[in-house]
Amino acid sequence: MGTGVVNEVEVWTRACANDGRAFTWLFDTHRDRVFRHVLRLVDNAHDAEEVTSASFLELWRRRASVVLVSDSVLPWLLVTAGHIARNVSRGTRRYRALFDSLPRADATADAEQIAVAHIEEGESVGYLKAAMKMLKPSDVSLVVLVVLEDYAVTEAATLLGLSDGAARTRLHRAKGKIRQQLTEVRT
Amino acid sequence: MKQIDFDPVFSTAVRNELDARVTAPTSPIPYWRRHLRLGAGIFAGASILIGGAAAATVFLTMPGAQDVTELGASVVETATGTAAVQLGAVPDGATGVFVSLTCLTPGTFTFDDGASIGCNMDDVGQTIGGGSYTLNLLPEQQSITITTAPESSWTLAATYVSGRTTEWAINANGETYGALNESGEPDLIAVIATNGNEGFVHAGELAHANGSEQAATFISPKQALAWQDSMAGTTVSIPVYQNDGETRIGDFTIQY
Repeated sequence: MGTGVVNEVEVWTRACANDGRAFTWLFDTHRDRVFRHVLRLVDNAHDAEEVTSASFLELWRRRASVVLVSDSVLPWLLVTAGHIARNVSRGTRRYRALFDSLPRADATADAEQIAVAHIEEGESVGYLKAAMKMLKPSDVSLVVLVVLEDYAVTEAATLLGLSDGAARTRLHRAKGKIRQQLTEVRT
Repeated sequence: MKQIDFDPVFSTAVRNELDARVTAPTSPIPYWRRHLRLGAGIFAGASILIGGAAAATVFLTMPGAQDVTELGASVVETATGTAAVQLGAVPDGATGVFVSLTCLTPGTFTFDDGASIGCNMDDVGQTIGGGSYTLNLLPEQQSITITTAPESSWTLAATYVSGRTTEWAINANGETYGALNESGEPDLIAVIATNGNEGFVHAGELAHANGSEQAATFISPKQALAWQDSMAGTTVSIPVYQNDGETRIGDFTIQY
């Protein structure tokens, strides 16, 4: 894809014109960010891989309605992955046959990774996961984009179809709920 | 601390699948609903949608459309929910599969390439969209999968075909007319009007109405979003003419 600064809008436009290399560049570039995000929401690496993959397949399937934020498809991917992660079996159903047919590395390695994930995760992440599950889907997206991924509230609001003010209010309430949840479980 | 990594084997397989899906030749998206809904992806999506809209109308006789020869017998299959229809071995020279889908219940029915058909109560039992549609054949493809809700029923008839794109025709005013195809767009583009008449819109009027003219002037996604916001919920109609480009026979509507 050459060197120097890559203009993602241009890459996206080429991907939409059936340029497979452009689309796989997006996959290579954003896969890990989406995967890390999904790991915070689901229980094991296997699910996180499928949710991540499904969000890229959805990016292609729903390309006509994808909204770029800050000239990037990443926020759209994060929000979509968040929705899919809320109900993994439903969200990945469309791609079930595909995923089942694709090869995987050694399955025991996967089990080991899952075990490691649980140790690594520790209590605090577990509490955060539980707290996030209490929020409405759109509020989870807001928290993810603004608090965890450092997007501006205005940018997140654009993507989620909210007014600036509404996004700020909801974010404030969502943070309050998470704080309350975390306080409750610790006391 | 050990970091959890994305399974590299699975990742490569997904990456290859994405590459294949993206690179696959775009089939015309059928213009079943007589209305075009443009989403936010106006930069990229509009030309594809319009292309399908126009190309799928009456392509057997339309200049610029595919001249299609059937190879072998049709496979007809009825199913409920998502299912694959097996087509058998690909005959020599086949370039696509001619399919026509009849919905037996309301619902949305999606082809392998993402093109979809929506059926309401009025569409049930009819071969919708005024005809059928040709899917381009992927290498080794011997089945067509229709994805739909578990309760939705459908019948698909599919025939291997070989196709070649015909030339656009030229009217008395020297304007080209016919279906959109891989060579681009003629001066008068074939569409189906809201009243069901088959006719043509002026390419310039269509570009203005569907936003592709405006999109060419946008220099940032923000501009595109602002434009989309300004258009949200609106409906734009443009006149549909006979192939002379002058005799008006209906309207073509784009909903934002």
